[in-house]
Amino acid sequence: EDIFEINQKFGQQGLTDGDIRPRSLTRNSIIDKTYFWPSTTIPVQYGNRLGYKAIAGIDDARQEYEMRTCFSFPDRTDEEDYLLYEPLNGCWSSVGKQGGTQLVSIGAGCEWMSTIQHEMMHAIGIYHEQSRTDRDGYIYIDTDNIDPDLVYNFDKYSYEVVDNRRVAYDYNSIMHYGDTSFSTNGGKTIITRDPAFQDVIGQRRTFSEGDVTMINRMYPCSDPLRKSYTCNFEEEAICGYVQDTTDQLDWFKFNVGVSDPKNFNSFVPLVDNTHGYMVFDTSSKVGSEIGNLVSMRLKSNSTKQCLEFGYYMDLVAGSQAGIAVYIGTIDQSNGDILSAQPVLSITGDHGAYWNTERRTIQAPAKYKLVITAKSVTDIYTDDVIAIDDVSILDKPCETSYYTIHDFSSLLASTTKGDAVYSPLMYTDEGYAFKIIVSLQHALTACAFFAVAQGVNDDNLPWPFYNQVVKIGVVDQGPDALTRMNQFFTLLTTSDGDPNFDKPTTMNAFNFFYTRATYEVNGGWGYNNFMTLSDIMNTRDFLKNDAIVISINV
Amino acid sequence: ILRFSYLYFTAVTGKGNENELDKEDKGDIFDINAEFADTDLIDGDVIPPTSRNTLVDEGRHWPSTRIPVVMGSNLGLEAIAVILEARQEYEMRTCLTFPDRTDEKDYIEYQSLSGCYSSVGMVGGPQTISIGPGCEKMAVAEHETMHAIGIYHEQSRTDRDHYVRIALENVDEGKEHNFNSYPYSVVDDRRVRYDYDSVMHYGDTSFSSNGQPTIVTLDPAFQDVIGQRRTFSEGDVTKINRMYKCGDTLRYSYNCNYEDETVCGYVQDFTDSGDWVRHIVGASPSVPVTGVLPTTDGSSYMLLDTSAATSSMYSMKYKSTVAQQCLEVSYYMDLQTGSTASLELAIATIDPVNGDVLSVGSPVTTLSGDHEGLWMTERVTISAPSEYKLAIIGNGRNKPHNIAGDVIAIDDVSVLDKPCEMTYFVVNDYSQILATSARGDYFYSPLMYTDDGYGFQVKIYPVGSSNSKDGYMAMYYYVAQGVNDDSLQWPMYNRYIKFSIVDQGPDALTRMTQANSILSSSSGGSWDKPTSLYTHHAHCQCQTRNSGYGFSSFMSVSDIQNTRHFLKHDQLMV
Repeated sequence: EDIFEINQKFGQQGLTDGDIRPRSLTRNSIIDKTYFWPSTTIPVQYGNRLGYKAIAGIDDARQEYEMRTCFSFPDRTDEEDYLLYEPLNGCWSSVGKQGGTQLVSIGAGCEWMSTIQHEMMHAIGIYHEQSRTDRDGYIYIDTDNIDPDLVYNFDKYSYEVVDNRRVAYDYNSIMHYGDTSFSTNGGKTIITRDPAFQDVIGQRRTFSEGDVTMINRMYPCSDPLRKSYTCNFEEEAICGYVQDTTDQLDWFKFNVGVSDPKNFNSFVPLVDNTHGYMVFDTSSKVGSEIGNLVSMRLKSNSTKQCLEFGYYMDLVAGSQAGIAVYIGTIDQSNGDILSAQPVLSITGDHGAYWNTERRTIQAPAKYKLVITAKSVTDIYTDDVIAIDDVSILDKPCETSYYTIHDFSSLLASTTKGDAVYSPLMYTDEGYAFKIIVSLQHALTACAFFAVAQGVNDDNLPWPFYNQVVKIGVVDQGPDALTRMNQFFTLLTTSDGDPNFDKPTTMNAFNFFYTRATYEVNGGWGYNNFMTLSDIMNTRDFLKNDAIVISINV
Repeated sequence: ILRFSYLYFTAVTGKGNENELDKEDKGDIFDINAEFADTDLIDGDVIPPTSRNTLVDEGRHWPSTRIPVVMGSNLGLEAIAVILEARQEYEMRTCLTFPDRTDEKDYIEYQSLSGCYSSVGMVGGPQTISIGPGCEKMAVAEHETMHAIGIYHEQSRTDRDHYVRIALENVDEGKEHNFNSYPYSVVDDRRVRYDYDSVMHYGDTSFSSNGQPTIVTLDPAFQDVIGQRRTFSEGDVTKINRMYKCGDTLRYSYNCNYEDETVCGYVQDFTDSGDWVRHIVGASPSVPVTGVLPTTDGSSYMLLDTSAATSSMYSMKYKSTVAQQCLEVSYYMDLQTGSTASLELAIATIDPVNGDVLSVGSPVTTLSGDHEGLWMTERVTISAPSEYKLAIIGNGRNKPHNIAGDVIAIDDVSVLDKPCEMTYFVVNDYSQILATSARGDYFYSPLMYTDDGYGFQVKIYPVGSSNSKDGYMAMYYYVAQGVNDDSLQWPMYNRYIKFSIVDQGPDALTRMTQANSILSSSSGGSWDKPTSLYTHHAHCQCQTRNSGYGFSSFMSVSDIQNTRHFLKHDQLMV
């Protein structure tokens, strides 16, 4: 359920626009600087009654602000003005700074990261997108489908109250309501004048690019707090990566269809939406040799980072060639690499496919990344090693990833109720689980989390309760920072009993899913997780005909 | 805007050098400064700090993005002009502004001293930026001002040895101190990758003893890139804005290529009879258009329903912080004989509270007539209020005509928060001109007028004159006989004249136009009233001209052909 649906259960509680707590009676505008926070560091406090899921959602939302803006929300010590998150009736906030203790309600059903991002955008001073002064040029409100007493929730505001900061009307904003908000009859209440955007409005994934621009213009910000790097090797300057001049071999930039300086043409891979990548040049090797590609000096404001790494390793049978990635500790003055610690190693044949590796690393505040390829004896001249789309986000990766290859053919051959089980994966604490995906009606994808038999089961406490499980379909777009993954979260509690017991015998009662076995408990998740149309047709959920499911526990 | 077709100006092509004079080229910053052997400068144009403070130390950042400046009394007109242009570019791309000083303690004084140089960062009290003779280029003023706000040369970065090699064997003896690099404790690259395109990078023959490169890029693809003096690179802008925490620019710009499905917030007038629709090349159009549709360098543009009498669309609310803006629009009009269809751009006055259009002003430009299946670009300086909307009005089937087959489209509409250049002229089919020209071949522009009424022409040698460096085009300014000559003051002295070959890239804000300037004075060119002195040219179309003044090596032909978007639809824009 979206914000307005949750709040409606509690009556209006004096809220306006669905989730905005009005200020005093005087109609002050947010253009009035009184309602600006004086700093981008806003103290917050977590109310005692917040559940695990709300806390996890707030933590994630705080992290996203730091990834994309200059805002941080540190725990309050004794500051006078601060945000207090409480699980009250619904999801709501005031707009702008109120002074003193300022409530942000994250009630039952509001515990999603994106809902919390939305309420926090209100708290820093931003109204809904559909409240913009100029909204009537882009949408119209169908009052036939709205309770006349609730029509005031679709008020728009004058330019004296809101300032869109020169950002064009943003259908994709996290501040836009969906098209059936406040509907009395299921009919649409917000109609986009261009029908192409009817299914776009109301997204609850994360900030749109327009949201980020608006926040960063409102609270001047030119560099986010957490530092991210992404390189597609499209531009000639290859993001500042340089060859190590002390090793034997080099990497070279290959442009599909444009250049083939090393006469690699019979081997090198194609890529789908970009045309440049780096190929390990083995044309001059004479034996077992290596080639290092070294990044510019990178910075981090976080203790953990997520390294993502696209690679292609088509090796001759028996070849021991491989790729390794190192974190280089550097001299703080001249940047020279003093020592290097391996964080990732890929060996063996991976066929004629692009693959993606994601790995949480712990880099220091300043470091360099070293990407090493190793050749073996000159027997294996037909080995092809290439990399592309290397990114480092200043936050940890999800716990696990599950890639479903050949998605189109799976979709074509599936019938309702067919299920795909992931391989066995483990949480950081050692619990085993599988992800069950079903492509129901060929319209929506369903995803379920299922506890499974694992090697540590005898040493773990059971049941597997009070764990926040976040499952996502990964947007595999080339810019890792601006992706919009689709998520849901669930909390393992007795509500799902007995699915979280130690998976020993066939559970008598398989709660939501009927195909449990002796090895796998019944799954718990969402029947309508995501539309197949969104997966197939929007953003980059499908890349190289594969989808990636992320799981964070 | 004056336009040329190839067929038209073949009639005015000539060969050999005419009477023209080159502006003395003193070279780049380091060449100019090298004339003054007794300076204490380091890195070519940097006044060394008295104490070894680091820039990473915030103490040498200016405390505000408003940095007061004084224009020294010894500055010439040309220096003042380029400093003002540089200030404008800072306001276009960053949140830094350089207002005239009132009584502030810390400020910059621009002076014309011996060379082009500055301190790095705020020194405290008055500090000098020298824009001496030969330094009068906008990019040089940008460069020296970047030093003053706290930025070193790109080739002084800590990590520069991974990207360039300083060829000490070619460096003038005793000049090695101009190639310092600094530790991370002194410079911070602000996470911007090594930027070969930076206006802070020296060119490859800086301080050369023998004409051989002193800076060798390890990737040879960048050897000819380093040392550009057009304007800020995108990396420069990122670095400045991260250093001074700019969330938005001071001057506002809008740019729409209609590539995005949201068409930048343009909305239809719901009350008129027709629409503009976004058309994707290759798709079938969703308005009744019967003619042949154009292709474009992007993938989409806006197509007019020419069966309707009037179709208007409005921009979102635009803001401006200045009095004049440059409006640019690409348009395509392929009209049937006798068609009176037209296209108008106008400024709509809006209600400041609800943004409703209150009135649409008279057109700032009206485009009509058949343009033979060519994309054209119109540029016009407008005086929009601080908040307004842009109205784009298509007049499809004007009465009494009822002609099918008209095609009208627009693309690449931009509004920059600064006036346009005074005049533009466009040369069509430029690849063909380059292919068929030999060194010494030239053509003249049509007669154009300055805002105050002086006639002039521009002469271009597409592949250079006998005086040009190999591979360079030449360009000269000629005072020419005009209709106002008898009521004007002569000689035409003290005019700052800027020539540009326009980068026509799709994002108007990030273009890197090649420009250079001259000053009309007794020391160069001839600025008297044009009489019959130079009328004896077979192809002059009886236009009387003075002798020319300009540049025998204005721009490399290969840069025009192969880099950025100096050619768009095979048109060169001057």
